[in-house]
Amino acid sequence: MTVALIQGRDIHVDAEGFLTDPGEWDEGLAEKLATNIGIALTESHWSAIRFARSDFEATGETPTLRRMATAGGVPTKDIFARARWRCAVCREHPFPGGR
Amino acid sequence: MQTRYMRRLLVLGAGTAGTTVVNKLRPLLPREEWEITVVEPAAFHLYQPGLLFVPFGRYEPDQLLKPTSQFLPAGVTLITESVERIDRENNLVELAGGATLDYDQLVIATGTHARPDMTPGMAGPQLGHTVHEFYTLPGALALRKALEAWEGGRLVVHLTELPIKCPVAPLEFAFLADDHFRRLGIRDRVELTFATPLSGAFTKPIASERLGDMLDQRGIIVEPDFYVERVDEGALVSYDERVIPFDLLVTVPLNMGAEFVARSGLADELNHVKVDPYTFLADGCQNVFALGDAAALPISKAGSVAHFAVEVFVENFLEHIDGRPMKREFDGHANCFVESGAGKALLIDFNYDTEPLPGTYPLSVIGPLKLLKETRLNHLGKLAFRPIYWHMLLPGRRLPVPTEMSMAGKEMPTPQPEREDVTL
Repeated sequence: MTVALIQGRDIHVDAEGFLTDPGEWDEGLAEKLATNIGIALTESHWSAIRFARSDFEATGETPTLRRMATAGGVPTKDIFARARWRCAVCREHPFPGGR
Repeated sequence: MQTRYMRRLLVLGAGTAGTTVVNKLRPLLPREEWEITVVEPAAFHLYQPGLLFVPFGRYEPDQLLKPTSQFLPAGVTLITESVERIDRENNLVELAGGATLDYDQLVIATGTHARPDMTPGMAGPQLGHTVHEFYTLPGALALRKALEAWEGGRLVVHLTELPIKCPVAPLEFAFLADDHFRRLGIRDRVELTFATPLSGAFTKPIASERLGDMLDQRGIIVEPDFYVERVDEGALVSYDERVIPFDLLVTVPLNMGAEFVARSGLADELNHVKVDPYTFLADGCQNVFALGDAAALPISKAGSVAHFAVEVFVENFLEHIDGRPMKREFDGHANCFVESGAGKALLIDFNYDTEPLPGTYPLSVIGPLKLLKETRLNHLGKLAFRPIYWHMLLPGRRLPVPTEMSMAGKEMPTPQPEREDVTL
């Protein structure tokens, strides 16, 4: 288990750098992670993130890109237009550079 | 209306799951209490694991097809028709021809199918010429013809989106193609690429690393994280606008469950039935189950999963129809041989909680098989499975393998360090 220290907090991540405890996530963390890869989160980012999180809570599974598009109303092309953060959507929350 | 004292089990689909479940249940359900009806439009049962070998001329169609009715036991009625929709409120199934069938218990086992029409450009005039798939018998035969005439160039093996049935099949195809071109002495004239939406060769880390190494050793180029948007003439284009040119494309199209599942309000985004992963009871239903590839389970879609699932289901079903709770829980057990070319194969064995690990797989008579390692014995195991499938698995005979996954023989991965600090 790797522990990342982000904004003075311990965040647990797996071997690929993904957060292992959804409870350790908050909006401040998302903004910090986005800043690290040079992105300022916009409302369209947030709508995708909120759908991914609420869907995970409801189903226990991270939504696929297809589900993001059909159930979440986030067009796949839009997700890839912001390709660098697509993992934030498809595999819970990213820890860039963790790999 | 005549009063019906008999209860009816209606099974939709006579593939691996549907055929096995009626063979197991018919002897256990008294004939004076239960009638069993199967609805299946296909007159012939296809041995799907054999399709992989068809493009390389190793199996002929007659080795892979047998009449559907041949595998259904006496006391089971077969209706050769397709399903229009399920009317759950009234416990009725409407058939395409307009007739209706009532049921007391319903099992959906209509599988999942390749849908090239769901990706723009994939099902166009290129299909069967420069674009191929081997998930159907006509597709596998067209690909055989193309390979026979092929003299080299860019061959791209591609996987559209998960889940697909037999998720190792595209990898196996890449390994067999590499072997095929080596035998012909033209491997140096073929650029072989493996394009996948996954970030590696397989869904699970340890197997992915092992299989990824095997692709490297064979000089097969991996294009990971490739999520296809469309197929242009002679090129795959991804959503992030990467372009992979090909002379010959062998793709695994999007796999989807039957349309009637969606029409009946039971489907996820891909028309697979949403079920409880431990009992297979469809969400929101008390008398509708889904087995095999038709069910949306968080495990590979494969015949082995259908087989293990049916064993758990049968015990639970007998409790359920007598109004008792279903006690057994499916563990997601899956295993499969992965053909790797040159007369060898790997074996993987895993479940919901345990990823494929190296080690040995205990098996009586022929001895332990090596896990995640290429051996001749694994290849022979893969070939031996075809007669086992026809003569033992489909008829519902017990196979000498445990239903639940066992850790015996498996090597545990090296534990990760307790704590490894990284500051960001």
